[in-house]
Amino acid sequence: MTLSSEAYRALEDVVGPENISEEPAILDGYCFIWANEVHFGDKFSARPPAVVLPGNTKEVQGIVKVCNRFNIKYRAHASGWEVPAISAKEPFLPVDLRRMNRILEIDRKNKFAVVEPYVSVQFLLTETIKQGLRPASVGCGPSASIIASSTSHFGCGTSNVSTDYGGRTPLGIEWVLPDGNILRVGSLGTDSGWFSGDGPGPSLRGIMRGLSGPNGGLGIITRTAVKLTPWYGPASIKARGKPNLYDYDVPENLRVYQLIFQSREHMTDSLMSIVEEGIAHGLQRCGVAVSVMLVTESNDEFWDTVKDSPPEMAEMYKFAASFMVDAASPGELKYREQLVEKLLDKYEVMSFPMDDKMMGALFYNLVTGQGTQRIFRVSGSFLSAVGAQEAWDTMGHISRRCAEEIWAKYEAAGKIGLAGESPWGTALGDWGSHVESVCVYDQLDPESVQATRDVIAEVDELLPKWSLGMGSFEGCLSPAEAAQKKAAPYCLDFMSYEKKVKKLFDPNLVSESTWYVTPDK
Amino acid sequence: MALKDFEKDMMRDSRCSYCKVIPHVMMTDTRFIDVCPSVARFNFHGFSAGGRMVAGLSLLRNRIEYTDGFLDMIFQCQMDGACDVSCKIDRDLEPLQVMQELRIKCIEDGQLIAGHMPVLEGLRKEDNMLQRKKADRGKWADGLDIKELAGGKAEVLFHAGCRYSFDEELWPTVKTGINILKEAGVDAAIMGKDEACCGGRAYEMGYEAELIKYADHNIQAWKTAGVKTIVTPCSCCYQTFKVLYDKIGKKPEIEIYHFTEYLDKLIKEGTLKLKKKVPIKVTYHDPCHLGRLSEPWIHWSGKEIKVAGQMIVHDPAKKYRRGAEGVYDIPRDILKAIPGLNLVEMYRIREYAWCCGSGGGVKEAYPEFALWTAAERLKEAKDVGADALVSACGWCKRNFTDAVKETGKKIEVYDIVDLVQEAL
Ligand SMILES: Cc1cc2nc3c(=O)[nH]c(=O)nc-3n(C[C@H](O)[C@H](O)[C@H](O)COP(=O)(O)OP(=O)(O)OC[C@H]3O[C@@H](n4cnc5c(N)ncnc54)[C@H](O)[C@@H]3O)c2cc1C
Repeated sequence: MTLSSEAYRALEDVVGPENISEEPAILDGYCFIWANEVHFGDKFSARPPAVVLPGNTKEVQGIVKVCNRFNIKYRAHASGWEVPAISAKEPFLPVDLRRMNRILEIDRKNKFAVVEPYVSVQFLLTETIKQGLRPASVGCGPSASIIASSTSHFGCGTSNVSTDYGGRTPLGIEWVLPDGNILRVGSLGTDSGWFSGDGPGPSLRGIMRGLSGPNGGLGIITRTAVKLTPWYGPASIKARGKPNLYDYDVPENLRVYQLIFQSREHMTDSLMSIVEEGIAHGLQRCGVAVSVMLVTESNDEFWDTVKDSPPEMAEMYKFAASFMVDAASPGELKYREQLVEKLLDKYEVMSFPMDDKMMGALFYNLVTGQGTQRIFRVSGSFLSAVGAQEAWDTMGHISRRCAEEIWAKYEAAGKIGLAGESPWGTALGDWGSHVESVCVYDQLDPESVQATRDVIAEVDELLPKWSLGMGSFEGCLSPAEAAQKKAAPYCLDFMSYEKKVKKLFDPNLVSESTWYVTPDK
Repeated sequence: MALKDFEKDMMRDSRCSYCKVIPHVMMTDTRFIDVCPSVARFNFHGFSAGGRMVAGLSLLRNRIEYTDGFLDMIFQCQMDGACDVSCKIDRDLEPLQVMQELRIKCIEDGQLIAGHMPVLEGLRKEDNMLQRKKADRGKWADGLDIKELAGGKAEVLFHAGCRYSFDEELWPTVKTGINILKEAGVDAAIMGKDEACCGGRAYEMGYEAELIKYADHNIQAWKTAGVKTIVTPCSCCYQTFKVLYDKIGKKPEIEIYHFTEYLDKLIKEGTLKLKKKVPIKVTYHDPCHLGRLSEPWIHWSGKEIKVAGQMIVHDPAKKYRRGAEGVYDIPRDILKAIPGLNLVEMYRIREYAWCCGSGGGVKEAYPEFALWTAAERLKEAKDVGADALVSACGWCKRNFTDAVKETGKKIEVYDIVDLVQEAL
């Protein structure tokens, strides 16, 4: 796709000459992203014809209108760290929302904040903890955009057990629809403020994002109010020492645990109990190796630390989780600590001994997801397959079958690493879990890249057949529509509804949809 | 090393954008979280370290050609290294080295920046970065009772650097420096008109040959003069002597001190007594070249190996420069030792400090961007309630002073040496 000079001028009129570019070197920054080699066979996907940087809703709307007029496919992004933000088979116009980076309001009493798209988890957290509140965290870490994760792409994170996940956090929403009209969702639609995500009539939040979000394929969200949850720590998080292993002080009213379970069943039961008790601030299923990664300076140091561990140890630490409780007062903290002790006793859970360094690192990781980025350190890139939302026991079985029936052979052949049954997962409010089966690969090694593609193909093939009573495979399979179509007989055919939504809301099909759906011809 | 030697780093960039902001946990005020002036000012991803890693790869793969837009994207950057610190919180990549090699490649390929040319010509002709006559280099010391090496010998050499030597407004600082050394009984000398540029700034602009040339020249000159210790008030010279010469395999067998380090030594020994009250509320600006960029160079040669399937480790194990080992506490200790002085910290300090704006050839080729960057820092200094901004580098002081004039901000700009002088 190229832009006619008329179209370019029209876009330039909207954003100003400083905020549009068709310089090839700049454009290459908008088609390069991790995992492109797996999906498109190269580090670079299709180079966009131009890039625009709007500064406000009016400009976003202007861009979208120009795109409809000139039949230009567009897709918005915030940090642009997620593959669906940047890459596509065919060129499209990236709408980089970087200039829209303001917190518009923090309503302490009603516990919500109104933000623009480039406001990240850490950005909002920094200001809200000054008022005793915090936003939901996102697994990828503190740089994740609040709006991207609450309206457009998943939004699962370490603290979701207490905050709920992205699908449950948005309240009032300002949405530039794919055709350029503006829809104000929830109480905002009746000029009643930002406090509710549902207005009169059927909920539009479901259409806007559903379970896992349209990945930029359904217009552009320009402002959102998100729920905030009480924060019992100090007004700022203190880190000391030197990079890259800063020391974090765990605030008085929080306690961090690294739990080791004896079996999958024990793990499922105890995690469900922890969720039920409503005492957790953060909960994350992940191996002890992740904690070691957080406190080692480099792969070299990590490997030096773990290389002589006996294989039984890896086996023993397979079922593990990091976990944090918080409390509004010392009395409540004492009660919660006692409750934790009881649960650990009941399910014979071992609390892994930690020094201050590891405890501090886990604390910050549980609050913000910081450190997840280290997955890239391991081998250069990673794959997270089966990123599904389901019941704890279902997810336990999925990760087992994935590990045994898919990952094992590739890992034994040395083509992927860090796989096995030690996935990453988190609790979603009070209704279930999000679990990802993760492995690492090397984008410089063609065999490793191919193995990663093969893993994806096998997941697409096998997961629906295992079925396991899952309602849908949204987010579990590769984003290719073909995979979802093939899985449709084994679950709810949610895609046919999404296709209807897409057709209705995006009549000119300009909201780029590689990572969402395309209406059937 | 050449750009192609960093191909793996470029390929392994994940596009996380961590390089654009200070380490997340250090964010305490959201008005001051940007760490990269370039992307903060120009916004497109290409103006960040991550974007330049992509551009480097594109260039190697012949996906792009040299254009003015591309060159602006590469050179509108102070090479301040803050991106490198933020990147390396979670990754083991070398964005700053990629950007350095990218510049060197541009220059090797004949892609020159118009604004740099007069400076380079001046350097080649007159051995300084300020387009001034070599013969005038020692003028700042006129009237001072200081030994000028003219074929003679001295153990301690005071190296003023191009900026202090030719920027008359900064002369009081170097003059004070000399007086302090004399008062402390240090038998120091200067090279006067024979002093030459360190070559560091030219290297940042992409001119590697100039760095090699001046390293060879200076090291030989110091050897001939029997110099054992160098003291310099210029952070850029300090970093060049201490780090860059080592990086290119020309580590001088000489003790290199930034003037603040020497002052600190004299204060802690009791030779220098700070007695007079200086009742002023100041904030300290960490010069990039004294802070994160002055971390000693770490040489490594070995190979990458894979363990546990695909994990990349090194044989022998590799250590990374993460910006932690710069000079951060010493200037603060000096300021705290000044009676009556109230030191308040800004939001972006130490290894994640915001740059003054003048480095990397920006002041020379893109002066407006240099001033914009400095003005951002002045806002931060005002925000923490400081009446004065103190730095420890002539380049910082010049750019801040220019920005004060330009913006009309009511704030004093000091070199730390000026304040020490007031306290003596
Ligand atoms: C290492 C790693 C770990 C991750 N772990 C998790 C995890 O645990 N849980 C999770 O939920 N996600 C995870 N992700 C995915 C993703 O990075 C996060 O969801 C994050 O929230 C995205 O924020 P961002 O600012 O990077 O969004 P972007 O990458 O900019 O965008 C993400 C998607 O949202 C769309 N989008 C963004 N903003 C808008 C807008 N205003 N309007 C319309 N569409 C928009 C984009 O088109 C894109 O499809 C992970 C990613 C990485 C790299």
